[in-house]
Amino acid sequence: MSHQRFFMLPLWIRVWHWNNAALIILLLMSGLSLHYATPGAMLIKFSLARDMHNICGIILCINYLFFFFLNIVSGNWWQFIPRPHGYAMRCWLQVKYYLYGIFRGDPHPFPTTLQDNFNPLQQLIYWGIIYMFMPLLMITGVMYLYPSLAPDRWFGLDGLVPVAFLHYFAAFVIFLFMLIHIYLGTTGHTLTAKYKVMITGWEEPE
Amino acid sequence: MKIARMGTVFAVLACLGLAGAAAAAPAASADDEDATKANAECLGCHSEQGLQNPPRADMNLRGLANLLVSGERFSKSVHGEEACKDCHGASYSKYPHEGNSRFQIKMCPECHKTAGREKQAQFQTTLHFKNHPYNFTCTSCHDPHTLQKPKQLGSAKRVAAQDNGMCRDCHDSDYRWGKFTTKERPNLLEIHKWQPNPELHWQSVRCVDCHTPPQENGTNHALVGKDKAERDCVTCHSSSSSLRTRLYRFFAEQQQVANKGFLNGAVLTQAYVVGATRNEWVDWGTWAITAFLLFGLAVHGGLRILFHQLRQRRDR
Repeated sequence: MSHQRFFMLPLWIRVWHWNNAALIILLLMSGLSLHYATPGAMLIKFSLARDMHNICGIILCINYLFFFFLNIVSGNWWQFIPRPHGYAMRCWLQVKYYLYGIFRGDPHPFPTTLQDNFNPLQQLIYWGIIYMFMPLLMITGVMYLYPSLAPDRWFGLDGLVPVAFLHYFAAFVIFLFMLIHIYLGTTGHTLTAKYKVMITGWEEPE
Repeated sequence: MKIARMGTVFAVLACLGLAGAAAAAPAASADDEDATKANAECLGCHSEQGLQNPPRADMNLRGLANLLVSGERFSKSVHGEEACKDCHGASYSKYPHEGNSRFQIKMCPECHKTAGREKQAQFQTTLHFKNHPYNFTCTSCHDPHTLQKPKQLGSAKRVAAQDNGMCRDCHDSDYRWGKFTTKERPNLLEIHKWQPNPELHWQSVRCVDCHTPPQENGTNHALVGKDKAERDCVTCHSSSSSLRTRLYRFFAEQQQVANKGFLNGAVLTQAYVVGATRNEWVDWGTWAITAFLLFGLAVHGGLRILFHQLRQRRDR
């Protein structure tokens, strides 16, 4: 196995990633302030939170389209597709590493290479987040912004109720992903190794 | 001088109301069938059909054109079971109507005694009354021939459409506005541009929900202008939403969803309102999952540090 550093993440992926990170944090703060709006509460003022959420939401959609387009053009989309043969077994190896091997100091079962940037679990989860939950979040967000797009009524309730629940659900899944993602970012050969790759683009194997 | 003139107007209005209530106990209403029959006679002329096919040749059709009533809308209105003559008086029975017949039309407080007095006092604090003491009566806003009760209308959006129509008839019409004042009419969208999506708000809440002080029962008639109107979003967009005591109080009995963990369930049946109609069970569930995950990550991280130190000690 080569231990030479190699350039893995082009600028557009890193820009997209950190834009996404900043936008999701701002959307989370403003979204919670809108959801739990209470007179006198220590939250962002409702009118400011509303503007923040609308503006950041629109930028998030543009950022996503930017990624979606360049992901196809650059061929990077292939990184997100799980390789079929023995996929379940490879996932199990990765789970076992997180549950057991990581404490013993075992080597990563699927070290990052130029060909395979992600381990099997990353492929599955990133695919779900990027191609399922992000579109769900954005579509329901746009329906919130233009409520005429939502159904008028839904089982005797206002038609925005299912839109609101799906938006909340998608946001919650992305929030949980973000917590796990930040934590697993510390599982490189040093606590900050993976963060450095995401900033410089250079992977430095152990 | 102006105060003296207003005092005179109050006195006249009060006398009309009280005298009407005390001296002339309202004539017993005809029963529904009689009322319908009697009203059909009036609507024979005072309707689109009557105007198209006047029952008499000597009628003033130009005058009649301004005095039409939709029979269908009237029958659905709050006064739909009343006979025309209950309010318009017996002198309208003859044709041509007597010249002074219109002075016999009952004032609203003659029937709406208690509420009428309270609302009249509230209304007298408004610019509508102060600037136009002679022009504004109850019927300037409330058309007695078409006004429907919220429960008859059945949804908050229909109530908002009806009630906001009263305000927008003048505030969104240069023609009607010009009948009251020569001042330039402010553009409604322009003065509400601080509010996100004003048209959407106007479809779901009434102008008076922001432009009147809160009141426990009924709608306060002390209308306030833009300087004193409600501008704090969280007054409605919060768990203690004031919508419950305003427009949405009419639908309070539809609270079945409130038992399923929804805050302001009565509002939810009519509209999803950000911040006001959330579900407490879902909220607690998400916090519990988040806490569980953070705990799990903290334990995992703690064990990594512990085992790392043990390995280092062993290697030494």
